[in-house]
Parts: sequence; C-alpha cells; structure tokens
Amino acid sequence: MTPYSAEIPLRRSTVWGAFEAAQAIPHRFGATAGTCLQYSADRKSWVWSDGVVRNITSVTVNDQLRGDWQWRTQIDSAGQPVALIEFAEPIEAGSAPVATGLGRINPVSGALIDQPADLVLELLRICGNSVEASRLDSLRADTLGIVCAGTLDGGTLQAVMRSIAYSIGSVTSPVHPALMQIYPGGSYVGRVHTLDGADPDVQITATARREDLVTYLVIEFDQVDGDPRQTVDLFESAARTVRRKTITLDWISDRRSAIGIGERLLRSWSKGRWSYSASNLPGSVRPGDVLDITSRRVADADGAAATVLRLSMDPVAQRSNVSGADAWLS
Amino acid sequence: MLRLAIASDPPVHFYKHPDALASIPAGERALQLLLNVGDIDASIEDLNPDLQIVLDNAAGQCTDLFYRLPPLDAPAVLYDGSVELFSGVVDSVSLGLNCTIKVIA
Repeated sequence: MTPYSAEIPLRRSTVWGAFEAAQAIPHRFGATAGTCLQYSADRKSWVWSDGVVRNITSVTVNDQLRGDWQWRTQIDSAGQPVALIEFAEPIEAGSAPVATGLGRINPVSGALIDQPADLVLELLRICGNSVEASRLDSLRADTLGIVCAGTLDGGTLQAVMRSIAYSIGSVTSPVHPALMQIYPGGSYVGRVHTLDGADPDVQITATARREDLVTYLVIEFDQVDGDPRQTVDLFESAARTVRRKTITLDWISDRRSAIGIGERLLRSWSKGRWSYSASNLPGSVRPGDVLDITSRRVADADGAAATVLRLSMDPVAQRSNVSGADAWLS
Repeated sequence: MLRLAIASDPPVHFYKHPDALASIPAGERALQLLLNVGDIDASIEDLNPDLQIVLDNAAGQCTDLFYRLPPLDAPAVLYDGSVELFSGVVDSVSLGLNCTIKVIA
C-alpha cells in the first residue's frame, strides 16, 4: 500500500542495467505522446511505456517523422511487460524518439484505460492500494464523455490524484466516501447537516469574493513532456467584466473533453459562490458532505446547499469546524 | 454623517445617522445599518489600499439585499457628508451577525 503522501512506486530504468540516466519508467494512458527511454546499449531499442499498451501510431526524432521502426509488447530484462520500439538504425546520441499512441489497457478486459474512474482505479492498483470499484460509481456516472490521457512519471499519490481531479473539474480526498467528486456540478450528494442558526454555539459566516469570479477561461491541454500542445478559450458573453483564468489539464488531450469540462466550470465560476465557514458543528463532517443552511443571516429564503471542501474535526469531542463549504450562485 | 454608497443595480446607501439622508439622491435605497468603518490598509510594496465597512445584519437585511447577486466589482464610495473619504470597488462581502464589505481601491 502507498500512503497518499508517498511517491508512486514506479520502476526505474536502472532495473534494465547500466544506462546513463536513472529515470522513472512512465506509464502512458489514453491518446498521448512522450519521449521514450533508451533500452538497449546500441540505441536501437527504446521503451515508450511500462505495462501493456494498445498501440503506437507514430514516432518522431528531432521533430522528423520516422518510418524505420516497429513496436511490440516485450517482457523486459526485469521480467515486466513494456511497450518497446525497435529502430533499424541506432538513434543518434543526444536525441530520443517521441512516440504517440494509445496507452495502457486493462490487463483483464483489454479495454483502453481512458475513463477517469478507470484511470484512478489503475493508479491505485499500481500503488498497491485496493479500493472497491463501486466507490467510484458516482464519478463514473458523472464523467461519461470525458476521455483522459497523460503520462504517469512521478509524484506523490496525492499530487497525481489531485492532478487527475483538477483535469476533469473535480475534487478529491482519500477520506471522501466517493474518493473523487465532480465539482461543481456533479451528482454526488454526501451526508446532509442542517444548519438553521438556532444553535448559538455554531457560528456561520458566508463570504463572496471577487477573486473567485471567472468570466474568461483559457484551457491548456494535450501535454507532451510537460508542455501543452493545445489551448481553447471560453468566455461568458453576458459578463460585465473580463476576469481571466488559465487552467492546465494535465490528463486531457481530447479537445471535446476539454471544452465540456471548461464549459461546466465556467457556468459556475462566472456566477460566483458563497463560501461558508461554520465552527463547532456537532458530529463528524466529511469532505463532500452538504451543509443545508436555512439561517436567514447567511442564506436567502430558499436556503443554501453548500458542499464541504475543507474542515477539521475533533475526533474526541466529535465537533467539526468547516472552513470551506461552497454554494454556487445560479 | 458617514455613508457608504454602492453603485450596484439598483444603487444602495448605508448610513449611520439619519442626518446622512440629506445627501442621498431621492428615490435611491438607503438603510441605517452602518456600524463601523475600519482603517484604510495600504502598502507601498504590494496590496492596493482597502477598507472594511461593517454593517448590521442581525435581522438579515444585508443577506436579503446581497445574497442573490453579491455586488462584487460594483463601485463603492465612503462619504462623510459630501466629502469622499475612500473609493474603490467591492472586493468581498461576508455575511453573518454582521455584514462586512471590503472595498479595494
């Protein structure tokens, strides 16, 4: 099992013997591209991905398309399958091939791993962390149509989970019952805590900030070796002021997915939110829970349903302090 | 005669003493909810000057006014009578027992 704060246990190229650089052997997912690792001393054999991938469709060296190559799944010298590319001639020193293809497949079903829930499950499997697939049911239902792609080549489990979550417009926490929740706009509803303002021990405030407003969204996506190859601009045409934000979706390479995610985020971000804090709440509160707020000092007559994003909980006294629970304006 | 004028849609004025009413344009909404005016915070190094104004929200009047459409980005001016003390835009609105409005230059 890998703690969330620990590095993801990727194999390193040192398992193949003595080569110049000790690099993590990347895992490729979805329709993606990336620089290969040298596998053979004669510079003819290169590895694109750890594990079994669907295919490799093109290879460039120094930005020039190459045709003198073949790829296959091969058991490497450490006994694990890799996606190997063999060239007829050695690749010149100082250069490395960049390959494009479809990445890892499910070892049981053979299906391409490019759906967000499948990607998360595979990441956790690589980390040796078991999780019931059903825990991701709401994520799976809410991300139909989103196609993920990218390279796993390092970082802590938490950092990669957050990167995936950010890429699909969601939030994540290991203590979230659904692990990852599309936000804002998802269907997941956690436990509901009613706050009617009657308990004098519970202090509630709501804050709306100008900095939270976004009316012009620039989305960078389709990363190759850390650099996005595509951007798309979205804007709220009815907005009075232009408030611009750039987001980079590390795990999206598909334009349609990027636009869909961006449009959903912009719908909420352009209207703003009330961010609630509530101190000294009775009982335990978890990320993803909902504060059903009817106190007339901090919500209008319709009340507010605020999703809990940040909190602290005293496990002995069973009291919780919510420092961030958001209700988006409509 | 302190008065905070927010050019929201529609405009609204908050005052402390009724004598401020004389300087409020006829027909515009005016509420006697202004409690305190904070210090103007300024720094030559980074932040724009800002000012926090505290309004009475014990009866939820500010919530009724601002909840659906917080006046973020709306021009706001603090007057003492007809003298302009500070002007800027609404940067944040906080609701609770009081309502705190942060105006940033």
